[in-house]
Amino acid sequence: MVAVLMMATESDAKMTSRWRLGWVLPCLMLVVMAMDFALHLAPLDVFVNCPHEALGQLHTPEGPFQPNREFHNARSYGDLAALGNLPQRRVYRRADFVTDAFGFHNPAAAGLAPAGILFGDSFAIGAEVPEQKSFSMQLTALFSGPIYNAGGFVPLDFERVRQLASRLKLRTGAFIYEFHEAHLKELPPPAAPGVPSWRHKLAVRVLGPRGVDRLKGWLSALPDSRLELLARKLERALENDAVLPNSFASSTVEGRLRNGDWMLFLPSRIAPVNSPDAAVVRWADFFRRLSGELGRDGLELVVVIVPEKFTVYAPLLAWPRPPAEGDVLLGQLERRLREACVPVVNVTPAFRAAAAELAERHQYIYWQDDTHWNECGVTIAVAEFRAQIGSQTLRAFVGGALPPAHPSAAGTARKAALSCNCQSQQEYAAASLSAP
Amino acid sequence: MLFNSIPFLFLFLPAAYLGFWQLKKKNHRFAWLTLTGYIFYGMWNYKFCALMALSTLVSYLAGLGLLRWQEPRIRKLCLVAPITIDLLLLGFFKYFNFVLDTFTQLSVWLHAPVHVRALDIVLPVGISFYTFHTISYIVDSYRRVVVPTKNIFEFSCYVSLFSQLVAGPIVRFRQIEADLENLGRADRKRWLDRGWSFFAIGLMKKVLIADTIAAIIKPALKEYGQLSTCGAWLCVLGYTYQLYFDFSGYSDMAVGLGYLFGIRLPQNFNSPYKAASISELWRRWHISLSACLRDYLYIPLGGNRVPGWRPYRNVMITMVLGGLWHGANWTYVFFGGYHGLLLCLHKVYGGHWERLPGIVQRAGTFFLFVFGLILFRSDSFAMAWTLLLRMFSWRTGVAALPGHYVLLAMLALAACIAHLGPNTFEIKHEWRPWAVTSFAVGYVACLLVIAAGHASPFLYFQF
Repeated sequence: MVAVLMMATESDAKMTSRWRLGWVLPCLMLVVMAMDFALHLAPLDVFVNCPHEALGQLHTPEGPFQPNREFHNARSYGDLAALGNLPQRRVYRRADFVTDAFGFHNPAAAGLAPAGILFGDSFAIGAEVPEQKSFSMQLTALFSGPIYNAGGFVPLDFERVRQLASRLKLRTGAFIYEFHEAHLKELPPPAAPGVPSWRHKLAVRVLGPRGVDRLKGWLSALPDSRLELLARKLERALENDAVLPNSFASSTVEGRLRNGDWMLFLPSRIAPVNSPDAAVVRWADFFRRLSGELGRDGLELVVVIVPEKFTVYAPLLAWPRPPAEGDVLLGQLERRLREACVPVVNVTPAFRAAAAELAERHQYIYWQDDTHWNECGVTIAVAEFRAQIGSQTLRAFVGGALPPAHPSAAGTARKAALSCNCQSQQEYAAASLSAP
Repeated sequence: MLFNSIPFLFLFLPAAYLGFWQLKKKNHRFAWLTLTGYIFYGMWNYKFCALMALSTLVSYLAGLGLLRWQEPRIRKLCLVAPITIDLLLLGFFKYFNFVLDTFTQLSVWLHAPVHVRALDIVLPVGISFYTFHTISYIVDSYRRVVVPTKNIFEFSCYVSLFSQLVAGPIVRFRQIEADLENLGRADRKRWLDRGWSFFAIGLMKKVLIADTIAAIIKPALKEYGQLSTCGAWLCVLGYTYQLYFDFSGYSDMAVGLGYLFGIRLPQNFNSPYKAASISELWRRWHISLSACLRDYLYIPLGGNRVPGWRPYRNVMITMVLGGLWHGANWTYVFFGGYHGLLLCLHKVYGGHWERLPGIVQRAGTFFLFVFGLILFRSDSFAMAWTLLLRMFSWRTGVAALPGHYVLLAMLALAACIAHLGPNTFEIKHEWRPWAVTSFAVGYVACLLVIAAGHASPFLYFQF
């Protein structure tokens, strides 16, 4: 060691004046910075796994994504497998994602006036579901016109909804609000929009609203260093429990179902809701108020309650089995909304029943390696929508857009859904990868 | 802001460096370093900048008082008042909840429970370090070891110099007084290579060695009850090297940054794991703290020039307070007490110890230190006791240690450097081209690790 250091530090007559640490290291940092800036010119798509990472930056003022963009990944995998750095739990499948001129996930512009707007989070956006099988596309089949996918609009800003409806020339129609159980842990959006700060006002005056949004997009994209993304990939590759312990493992919980299959969950979603009764009351009040406001604008609110993956699969788990109270809370929310005459579809009971039935065949309605539902889950949700909403009162659809009520469908819709499209997800993934 | 972070390396440091060397006048440079120090500090919590400013102002005024008044009573007031303020601030932020908690536990033990709610106090980063800076300045001024400065920019630059602000070394004013005086005439190129060399070595020690070891032992120590005997030894030895490479790496980076700005900071680690006795180890480990405790506590207590058992008492008081300085926890107090006891035993039986072969002395000293670090690392006595039990009772692997091959390799490398290699102050820092290339590769590796978001704070930041 000493000898090596002596060799390294011996003064060398040939040593050039430039080849010194005081010159080399600052230059190296400059090179790294230049490389990173240059890599910013490369599209983010090649460095990331899922569409919202690639297209979420530089989004439009109206929508959550860059407008008129496409994202394709032939080997995409679930967010939970990515979060927990669990390559052995990845279920590879194809991901295609197309955005429209407003920056929403709407693959095909039908050209028809929409019959309604779908609002919600990543479940509404269509994460992990083939383009033509997303919630909005499958709902479209129930209506006379397309259902415009405005998923990713969260948190809801009523003024933006109005602007969007006006741009879409939607005077009357449905406003379908996909409400995922996880949002019970959050506060509903405020009744009145917050007062913008003086800095925001000044920026709007100088740059205009579009300029401000563009600036925000650029600023938020700036820290997205490509070198950082590459370094993270390298780090994740090294943290494989052989070279280094996997420090990401605690980001997910792996459960074992009674049929022997594994299922990943998000730990924060397993934790119970704080003061659940208050949360239910808050959200029920919010939907009641929203229904009134939308009604004044000619839009009819329909709330679709989507349960958390853990709520659906907790009864089927061999371990861990903490109590899952999600179904009770969602049931309470459904009851309160019905009392307030807000049309509501709660897919929880149908999901639980379907999950139990399909698990025997090792088939699932949520991805094993992801927080989201799969095509099969969407199909069941749409069948439930058709079955449940027909028995409720929907007042103002143009030309009776909603098909006639099918009270008898309540029992059969789920079964119909179960009989089709529900391959095991490995089969499905294999089919999706081999698709041209 | 951490030295091992992208914002520091790519934004703060270049801006601070270029701005500093653009300025020509001494006072401008003082002001610039003060400003950068406050920005650096404010990145954690800008509210605590006011606390540092208060401490700086009080000590500066006390220095002016000591310069102006020669009357012993007034001089003593100028000594006691600012130190009291500094210690009250330190005591409140660092020890208030500890005292409260101890009081509550004591009352429960005495079957007269009194429950007082702890306050929600945020410990300001580096308060232990800059408080010692200001106290050492006041005491040295009082003792007339240094002439207090009239230049507030110079003094605030000394307190808030970002390279040594949050985790030392605890620099005494006299140690950098000459460089501060000459700051206006400092030559940018003179220490440039040496500064970068120190900084790069420190960064590699921290990021490549300490953090890699930490990545393996940290999750294992979280589940310390599940450790096997081998696992417990690996974790404790791992922590021993992690602590050294983490803190000495930080100190090297601080010294390197000092050189980049024309200020020579003192050595903080002098190959402590080569020490042949526990007293030698404390002369080599965290030298700036040991020297402060010796000069401002041990010697004023009488040192070893008092008769009978009192030198031992002085050692014990010094070491227990030194332990408590590290943190408000009884494990630190016992860590200090343990080392105090070892120092006392060395005083008594030093002659016998020195007759042992050199290698036995070194190995013995090292392992005595390792056992002490169990207390230092443990959050509770239960954890310390469990770790000791695991180390000294055979238990096969219940939970395997993921990455143990890498850990073994890192321990071997760390042991070679710490026990056999020269320390950073013993190296010439004039590197051959191939060594420069190796540095560049190591530096890029560090940048990659940091960019991946895996950089962890320095262990001594918590103190």
